[in-house]
Amino acid sequence: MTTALESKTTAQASPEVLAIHRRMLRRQRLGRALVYVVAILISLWVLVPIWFIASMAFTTPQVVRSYPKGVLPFIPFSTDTMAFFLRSAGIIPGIINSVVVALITLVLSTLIAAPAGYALSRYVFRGRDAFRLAILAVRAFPIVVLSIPLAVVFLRLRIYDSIYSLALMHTALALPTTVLVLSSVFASIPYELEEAAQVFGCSPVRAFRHVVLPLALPGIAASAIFTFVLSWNEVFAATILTLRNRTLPAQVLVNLNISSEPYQFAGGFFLMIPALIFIFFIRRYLFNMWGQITK
Amino acid sequence: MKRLYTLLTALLVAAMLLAACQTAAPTEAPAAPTEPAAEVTEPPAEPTEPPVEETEPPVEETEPPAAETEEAEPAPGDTGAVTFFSTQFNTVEEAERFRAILGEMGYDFTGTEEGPLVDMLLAGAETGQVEIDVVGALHGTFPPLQDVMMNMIDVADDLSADREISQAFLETGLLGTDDVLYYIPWMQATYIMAAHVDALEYLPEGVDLNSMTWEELTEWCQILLDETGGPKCGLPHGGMGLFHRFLQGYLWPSFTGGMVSRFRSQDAVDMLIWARDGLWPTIHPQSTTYDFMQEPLLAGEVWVAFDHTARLIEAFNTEPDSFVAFPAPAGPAGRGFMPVLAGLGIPQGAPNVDGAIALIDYLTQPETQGRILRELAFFPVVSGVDTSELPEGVAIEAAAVEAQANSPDALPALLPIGLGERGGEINQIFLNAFDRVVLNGEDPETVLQEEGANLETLMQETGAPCWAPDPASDGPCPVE
Amino acid sequence: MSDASPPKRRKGINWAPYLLILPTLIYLLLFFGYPMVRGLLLAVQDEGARLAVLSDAERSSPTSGTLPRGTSVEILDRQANAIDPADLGQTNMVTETWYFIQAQDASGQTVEGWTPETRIRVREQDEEGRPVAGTVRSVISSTADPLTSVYAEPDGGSEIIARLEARSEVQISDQSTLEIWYQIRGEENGQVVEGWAPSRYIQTLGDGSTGRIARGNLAQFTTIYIRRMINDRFFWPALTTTALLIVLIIPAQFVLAIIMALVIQANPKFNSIFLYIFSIALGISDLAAGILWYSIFTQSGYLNSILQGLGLIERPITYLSAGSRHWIILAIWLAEVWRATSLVMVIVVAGMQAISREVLEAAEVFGANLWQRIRHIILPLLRPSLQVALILRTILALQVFAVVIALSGGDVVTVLANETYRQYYDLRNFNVAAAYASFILLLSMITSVFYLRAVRYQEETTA
Repeated sequence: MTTALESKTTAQASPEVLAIHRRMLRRQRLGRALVYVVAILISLWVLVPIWFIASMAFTTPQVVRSYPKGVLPFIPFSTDTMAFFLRSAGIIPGIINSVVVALITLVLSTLIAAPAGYALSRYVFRGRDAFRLAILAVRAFPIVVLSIPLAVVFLRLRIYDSIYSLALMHTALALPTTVLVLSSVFASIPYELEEAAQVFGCSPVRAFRHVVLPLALPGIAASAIFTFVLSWNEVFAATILTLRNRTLPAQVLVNLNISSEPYQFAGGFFLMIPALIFIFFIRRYLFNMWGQITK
Repeated sequence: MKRLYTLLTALLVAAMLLAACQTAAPTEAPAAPTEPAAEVTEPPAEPTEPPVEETEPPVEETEPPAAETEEAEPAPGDTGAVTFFSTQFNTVEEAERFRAILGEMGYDFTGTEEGPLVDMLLAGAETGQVEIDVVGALHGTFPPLQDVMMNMIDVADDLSADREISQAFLETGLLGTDDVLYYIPWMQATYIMAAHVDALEYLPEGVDLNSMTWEELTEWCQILLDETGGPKCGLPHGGMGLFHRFLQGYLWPSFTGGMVSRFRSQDAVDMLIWARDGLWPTIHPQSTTYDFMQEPLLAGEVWVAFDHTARLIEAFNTEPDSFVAFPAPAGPAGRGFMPVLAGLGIPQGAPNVDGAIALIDYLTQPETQGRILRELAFFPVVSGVDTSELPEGVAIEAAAVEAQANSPDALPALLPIGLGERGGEINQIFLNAFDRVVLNGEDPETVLQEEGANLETLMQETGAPCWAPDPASDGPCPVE
Repeated sequence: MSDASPPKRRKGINWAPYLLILPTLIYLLLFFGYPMVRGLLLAVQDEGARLAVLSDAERSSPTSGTLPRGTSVEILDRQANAIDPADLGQTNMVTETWYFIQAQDASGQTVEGWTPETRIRVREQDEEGRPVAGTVRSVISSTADPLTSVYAEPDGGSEIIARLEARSEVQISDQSTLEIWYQIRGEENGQVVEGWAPSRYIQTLGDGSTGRIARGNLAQFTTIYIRRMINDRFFWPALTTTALLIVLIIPAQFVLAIIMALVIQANPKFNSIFLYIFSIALGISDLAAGILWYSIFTQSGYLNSILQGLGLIERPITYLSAGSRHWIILAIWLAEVWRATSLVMVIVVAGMQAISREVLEAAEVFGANLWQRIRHIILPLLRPSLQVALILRTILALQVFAVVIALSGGDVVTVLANETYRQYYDLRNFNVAAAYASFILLLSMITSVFYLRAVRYQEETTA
């Protein structure tokens, strides 16, 4: 992991020190190699099943039903099933709706959850644990039992069957995750930094904006990913609360598990793609900017 | 940091623009005029119009994908858009074909599962804001909705003027009442057997495919198991399979002559013992995950299967030369079989009742019924449908369906009626009885006594009278 | 929660945290308040457990007693109260409407009398919407009387004046909307209760002199649904399977996630690519994961294809069947570990960023090996993230069932979330479904409290 050790000792080298030095280098190299091996193994573990489903999505229906199953590139490549899937009614509008809902949910839930996360991390107040448990209860109660009352609430508020209202619902579902993740991230940023900023003349809000927020970026990125994926894959509320403006899961999942196998693979694979794209763009922010933390 | 802000803001603005253009198109349609229907006994509720979006019509034209949403173009005549929700034809291939049929008259439909549909209708009834015009679903979906659906009896009267709707199915639509018709019969199907031609080589001597018994079928499946090295018969015992209909409509009537009244008779005990020791060992063990038998048939995992005609049709359509269809086997008490009935209903307070009636009219015309038969393999409920030139797959099924219904020992079993909301419980009772004995190995007599007691309680508490094949009863159906 | 140290800044109550959490609270209350209360009540409250029997056939009269639902009763008398059509807006009224009609019967004689509105199809209405003319509806049911009776009074028990054929034309000159009340006598624990009740609550049997109370109008707290849930055939299997899966899945996921996070932290080349690959599974819904792993474990799936290709087996093995539950559990375990580890990993990686490199380097210089560094530095500093990840993952794990259904059909192997779904959608037993849901909620809360206490971190304990 470091070459500091190396550079310090090569100057004066007695044989024993050199031997120890070589051993440590070897251990370092072994350690390094181990890291690569583990990383590659885990990557295979993640990627191979995806390769399977991609193979099934991009081949002919006959191959999908055959046995033993081969994988690309050993089986014929065909975009028939995917094209059929994409052309099915309601898919393209469904995609647009899903993207819109997911983005609105993302912004809204972060805005509402950030103050709460900050409060949880910085203050110890009465009702703190109760608050955490209360918002978790929202997530922990199987939503299927709530379907009629939720529909009634939305109907009475006159916001039924609109993607904006679905975004509101998804925000409610995403709040618990976002609040908790943000609070844990804010908690790991020492308060002394904010205090230091305030000593130097920043107001608490400016201190937050310029000191805490950049450091919390990985956490915000993490919760952004969760929220987007949650909203994108959420099917239950989408089915109950919309009639005409359906999101992609509501469209597709109605028939996914009763459709033919080739269609299932195409649909399943396609459902993954936007989430993968979004994660690709956000992943950089998961890394902090090295060297900007000073303790 | 700044890049993140700008990126997200740009995305958000783009998203909201897209959304605004998108919702302008669909929400235009509900503003179509809805005339108060003369024949309806209750006044329809006012449609709720989302206020803002109507100020954006100019943007509509520049948004091509929006036009392809599930929103229907206005139908000919002034009936406006009709919101049609259907639990049938949800698989992609079927949905395409059904949309094509509906599209001829400018209609469209939204596919949905049964559970959410019932929830939406109940929520709509509770708040007085009904959004759905036509409900197309199986018979079993309607009992929980009895307080919510409109009386279709006048619609049936008008429709009967120029076509003959099956009397038996109209009666089923009464759901046990005398005066209230909850749905107009839409189409029917049933369950049959399918076999790969390769399996026919192993058919035992002297067995006629079209008049088999359950014992002969078991023999055949045993031969398949022995000769081909693995079980090749399959049953749809998956989570979304219709296995309870298999038990209620085929097994129990064929062996006991009844469904409810003879549920725990000695014949039933013997049948369960046969199912556990004779039948199930020859059935493919992955049957507990099968929902649609056409998939395992096409994949070659299974060579002989029992299933709904609509869940076998893809096999017949894709490879008509590889598969044959034949009636379900008979038992000691007859050849039990169960027709499946789908109906069209209108919720009370629907926004567009005239349009709904027009859509139902279209779907029950003989020409349309013929198209549904040819393209979707669901059989008509009106007479006068031209069945002369059927596509191969449908023709194969139609022959088996007819043979089954017209066989000399045919014993039609009807769908449970009069159980109201608790219709699901009777399915679970039959499933429990079978699973506990056959899958879990419990003692058949004990299981039948316990589940029979549950069945008895259910009948007593709902007061449901007997239905075919049980003899008619005075009061709640007794379980002997 | 410790309160040994004073609040951070000012004396007195610090309003700042409460203000900051207010938006979240209001938001959640708005959307979930009413539904959650209703959902929880469903599990313990039997709406309509008892029927209030009144001393007179009128809504405002006092109660003379109550009877439980399902009681057999004798029907002593019947009374039809005329309702003003203007009052019809009240919900919960089951009313009969009768029309006073004039028509010609089969023999050409003019008859007039009352007949139920369900027998008449209204064809013409006047300007105020009142019916003036119509036809007699045909009878569909083959067991009902094909002719329509005309009565002397708007009462099904009064004298029948005439019988009309279907499609006869009628003139409607009056209508009356009635609410029917029954006077009933029933017994509970030896005590006789007698009084009037609206007909919607009574189901008449046989000839109408006896009946039973079909539903009540008084709610009662009850444990019957909870008992039904516990006695349900699937309850214990679902509970044990859920517990087993949680115990097997979560530790494995955490170990795997920490390994992944350490790999990322070690900063090899292509680090961001590895991070991306590791978090791919986040984007996969549990339904898609179910389809995927089904395709691996099904008899004609990938596992068998690979094994057969390598020559290890001669013919395909069936993994997902009723006789091989352990294989199904293994498949579910694999599917869940594969799909959901990324959630934990992302949280852990985000939390690891805050651990400063200098501390770790210092430890290494002082001779700590990898395991010691993990145990004494990284894990303790990761506590906030671990706490959050544990809580979230457990709550989500209790809710997963799409994977279970895809791999087992939902009957052979079932989990609590699947049972909630089954009770709600297949059996339409809302109350028992609510009981299952409340049970899942209880389990989630218990485990969350456990995690909150067990994985406390420094900031929390010393404020």
